[in-house]
Amino acid sequence: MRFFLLSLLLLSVFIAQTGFLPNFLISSAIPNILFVILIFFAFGRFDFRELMALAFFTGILLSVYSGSAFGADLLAVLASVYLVNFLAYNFFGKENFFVFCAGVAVGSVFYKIFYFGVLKSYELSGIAPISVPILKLIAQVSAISVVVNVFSAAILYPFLKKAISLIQNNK
Amino acid sequence: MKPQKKTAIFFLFISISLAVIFLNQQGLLESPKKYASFLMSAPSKVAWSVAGRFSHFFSFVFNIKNIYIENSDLKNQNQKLLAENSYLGDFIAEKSILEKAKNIQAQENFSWQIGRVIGADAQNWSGYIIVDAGSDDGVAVGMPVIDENKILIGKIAETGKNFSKVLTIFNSSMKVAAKIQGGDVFGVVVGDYAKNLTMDFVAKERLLTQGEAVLTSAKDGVFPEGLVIGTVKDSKIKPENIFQSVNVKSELDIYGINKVIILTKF
Repeated sequence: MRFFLLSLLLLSVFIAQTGFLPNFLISSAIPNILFVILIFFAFGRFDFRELMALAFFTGILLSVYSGSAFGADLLAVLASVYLVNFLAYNFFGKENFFVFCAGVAVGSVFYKIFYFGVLKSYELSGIAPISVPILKLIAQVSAISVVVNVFSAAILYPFLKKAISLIQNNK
Repeated sequence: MKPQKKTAIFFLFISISLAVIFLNQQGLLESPKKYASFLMSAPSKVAWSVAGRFSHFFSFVFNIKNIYIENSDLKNQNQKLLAENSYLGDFIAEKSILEKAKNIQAQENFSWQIGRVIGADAQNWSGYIIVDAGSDDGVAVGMPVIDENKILIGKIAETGKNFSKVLTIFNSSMKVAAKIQGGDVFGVVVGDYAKNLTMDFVAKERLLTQGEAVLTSAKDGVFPEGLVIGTVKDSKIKPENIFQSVNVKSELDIYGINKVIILTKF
């Protein structure tokens, strides 16, 4: 039941992210709310298998609706969420507002690196006919995306805490 | 949970992901993807139309300063154009009859379908929008997509029964055969993931000036001739290169588009 509710939450956010948020760009960047929510989950709130399953579901959604080669979002989301979960248990310590924002920032940076890294490997292996100037993209696209994601995380943090406590009470 | 077990679970999901990617490469996931997009199209349409109403108010508030600056620039430009217009008046009068005849003949060969934008890709750097016209409306993969000012948006990448995905010119897998207005300089326009357009394979001998129009040349057989891509921003000429590379400025605002025109026949 809890997994179903979480999947429904992610699906609703996904619809908002593709249908609603593109009309409210912040300096040409859309906040990746789905990813911010996954990072929130990665701070030890759920069983690791559940977290990976939710990350897989989110990655599939992003890949299906992405304009770039299929699978890049999926692999990037899984790797970033695993990394943030690892850091949360071994480095960040007790989760609070600032730790969460730091986790989002670190996760966003790694997401971009993994994402463009996968696309570059697609280009080099000939799987997809794309051109990926990887360093230029990481510099140009990633910086503003990280800032936007952290800004969104700061706004969403109290709402996410409330929503997750309601969902966890329904398990 | 032990770190080793977490790592094992992580690699299990990575393996599943690689299997899914492999299945997609083999084309076995087309039906599920289309079905998923069909289910998402209705709520996306609602979200997009609701967002449009809110965004007009917010964009006005945030852009007041930009609107003032743009207004001043447009007034200056208007005065320059009025001066040019009086000089070119005689030439225009003579050519206008011939041009009108040519345009009418060209336009009569266009068949089109109007599509309403109902969504965009979840991450904006891949330049991708979704419209509510699909195969039931006569839309097919590869058809060009423009706006009402004949500015090139992109082409149809995927279709469902009542929706289509439009790959825009900013996507790096889109390559458009282009020319500089005047007809003697050709090249290929390519986007990148950061919303920049570059025109490659341009002859080095031709010196380009800022503001020259970049249009489709129809040499790729994909887009009709004369669709507006943008204007020349600047160019890079290196002595060791055979061609020059031109940065193209596009006025296209992908997320400000509400309706598109899909050229079903041209």
